[in-house]
Amino acid sequence: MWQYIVENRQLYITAIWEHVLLSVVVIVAAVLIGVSLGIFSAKFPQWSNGVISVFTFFRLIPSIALLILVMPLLKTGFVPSAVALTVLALPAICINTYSGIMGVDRLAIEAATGLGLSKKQIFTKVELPMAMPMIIVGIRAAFIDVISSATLAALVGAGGLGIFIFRGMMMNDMARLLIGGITIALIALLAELSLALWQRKYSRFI
Amino acid sequence: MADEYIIHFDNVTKKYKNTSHPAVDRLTVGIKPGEFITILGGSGSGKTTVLKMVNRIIEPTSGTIYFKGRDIMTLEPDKLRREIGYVIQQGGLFPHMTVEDNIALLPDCLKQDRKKTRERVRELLRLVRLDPDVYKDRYPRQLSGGQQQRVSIARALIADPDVLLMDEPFGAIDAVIRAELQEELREIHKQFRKTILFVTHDVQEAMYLGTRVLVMREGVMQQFDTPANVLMNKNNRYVAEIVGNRGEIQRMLMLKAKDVAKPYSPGDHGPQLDIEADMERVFALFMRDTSAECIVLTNKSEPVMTIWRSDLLSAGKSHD
Amino acid sequence: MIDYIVKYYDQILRMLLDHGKMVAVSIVISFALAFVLSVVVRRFRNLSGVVLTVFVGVYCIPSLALFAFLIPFTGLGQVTAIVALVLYNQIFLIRSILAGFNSVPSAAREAARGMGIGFMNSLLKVELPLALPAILGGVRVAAITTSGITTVAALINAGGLGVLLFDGIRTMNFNKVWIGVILVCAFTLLLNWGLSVLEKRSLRRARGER
Repeated sequence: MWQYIVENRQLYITAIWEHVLLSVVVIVAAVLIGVSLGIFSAKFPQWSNGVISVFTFFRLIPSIALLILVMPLLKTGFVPSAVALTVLALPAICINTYSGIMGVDRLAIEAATGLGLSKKQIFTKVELPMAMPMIIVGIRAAFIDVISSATLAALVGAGGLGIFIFRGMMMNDMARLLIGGITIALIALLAELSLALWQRKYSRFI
Repeated sequence: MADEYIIHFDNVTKKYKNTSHPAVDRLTVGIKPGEFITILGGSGSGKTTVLKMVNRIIEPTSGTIYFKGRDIMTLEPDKLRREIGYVIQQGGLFPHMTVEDNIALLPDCLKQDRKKTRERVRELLRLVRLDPDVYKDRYPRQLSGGQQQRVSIARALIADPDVLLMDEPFGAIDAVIRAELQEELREIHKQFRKTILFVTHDVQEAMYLGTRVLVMREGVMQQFDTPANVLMNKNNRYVAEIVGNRGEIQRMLMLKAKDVAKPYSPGDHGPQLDIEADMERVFALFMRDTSAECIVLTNKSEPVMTIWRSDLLSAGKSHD
Repeated sequence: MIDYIVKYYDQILRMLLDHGKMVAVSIVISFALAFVLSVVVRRFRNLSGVVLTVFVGVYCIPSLALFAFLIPFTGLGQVTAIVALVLYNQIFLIRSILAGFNSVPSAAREAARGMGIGFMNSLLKVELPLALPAILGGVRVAAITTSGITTVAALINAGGLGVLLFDGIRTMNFNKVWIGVILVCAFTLLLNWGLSVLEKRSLRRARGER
């Protein structure tokens, strides 16, 4: 197995790069959009029902279905996969952001208001930090799903380590398959652990 | 180990790991059947630990606790607990069960006759002043704090235990309801003569309810005596402080009239008060009715003792 | 598209049933395993970190890789899929079972203990009903994820609705693909709805709002 990696170093590294790039792009986009929408829903309750319902619905669609659904619209490749995976990641992040903000202890906000902080300050210094653990939980879950689902994206032309797995399956090449699988697992684990640490940093006081 | 005790602590210590001093330190007390023991102390005094060791929620590190003459560590915990009623501060009612099911849980688990159990539940609800037809199908969340505690008490009495353990049961209840509940608990105690162990940090509650008071401080027993003796204690600085820092007069007001009164002789005429009344009521009555020279203390309308106006000023001196 | 459904509806039905079967069987087995593991973790607190990390790690392995890894041992087909699914579900189920039991109000737990009704009675009549909402929440999440991965399992001959998807892509028959997508989504939605109803009902009961 090691030999294989050494021999195909370039291919391996490219695959890792593609996979990680896809995952990171997706997560960043999902965080930007998802957190904003979550905050929006929390601050404008009239919209919250609609937004949350839509996302709860989308949460149910399996990743593979999403990847396939974008095909007629965007064909195959990096961009369609990125779009599909972003849609995959959005619900968890958005819903968790919403829950996180809604779940902030009202008394803390009241105290902050009583201190004379402006609405913006209350949001940035009290509400958001207190909602962070919940938000990070959402990002964690989404990130793992994205990294795993990026494997399937190989099927629709996005490259990445999924290629190793598919080719390995088709050619009955255990080594290739294991390399793909283990690498993805390691990347996912790394992401999970770092986010867990980040979350603990925030949860220390709650 | 005397047979007359229903609960007997023999040199009992409870020490947790990594703590500097024991939660309960070499406690030795004997409790007779039918007593109402209030366990008084501040936080960290060990009062709750003492209570919870009786039904083995907490187990002693050393020493022996006897229940009805038997070492509780030789008994099966669940069997022991079924003979002891347990009421905790937050009530601990099961939110997913109706009042009736809450009270009947133990008999139901023991597969006892349902009809009989339901009858007994009604009986107990009436005892705690809750109309069975109104309350038996309600859920805990529909009840006020005071009502929840009443249900807790009913639940603790379902197996007709000889001993009732109560851990600051009225701590979270507002003052008006608390007074009601205290009265009703006293009535229940008088009626059924159960042995009650009642933990509290409220001095007045401890003095009012207890037939004897166990004062605890940092795990060590300070005094175990009648309320009157505890109130008048001048030897133990801690006890004097917690009962006395409210002033000599307030202390005296917490005494009971019967501690100060003299036996009744026919010919004593005056307004009447129940024999269990405290000195505060006595003073109030004397102040309102300036012509009264004495107050007759009655038990069920029968005169038993007389308290004289002239006795009032010497109330602090001698007592039984 | 409609004529396709009509023409092949028995095959489609079989795939649907296969899919449902795999989801149901794996959920049942997953739950049993998770319950046992939760009891163990509760008893030996120091194991909790290890157990949870292991299953997080398992979840990080992409589905196809795990399938492929199991194939030499369990062959192609549904058994492999179910084994993989059981492993994937542990992280959700163990977490939610533990969370459920932790959410039981401590006053109720202590009162039950003080009453002397015994360990089993306390567990079944007091703690379980109160822990149920959180547990069912976890079951629901597990079921949804399971359904998604089952779709992928079509690639290893496990059958299920994924067959429509992958076959359709391979043969460029978009009718098939669409039907597959719609059915998968519909199935998942139905599953979610059904389990939500159960979850909400258990929540009402736990709160005494019946």
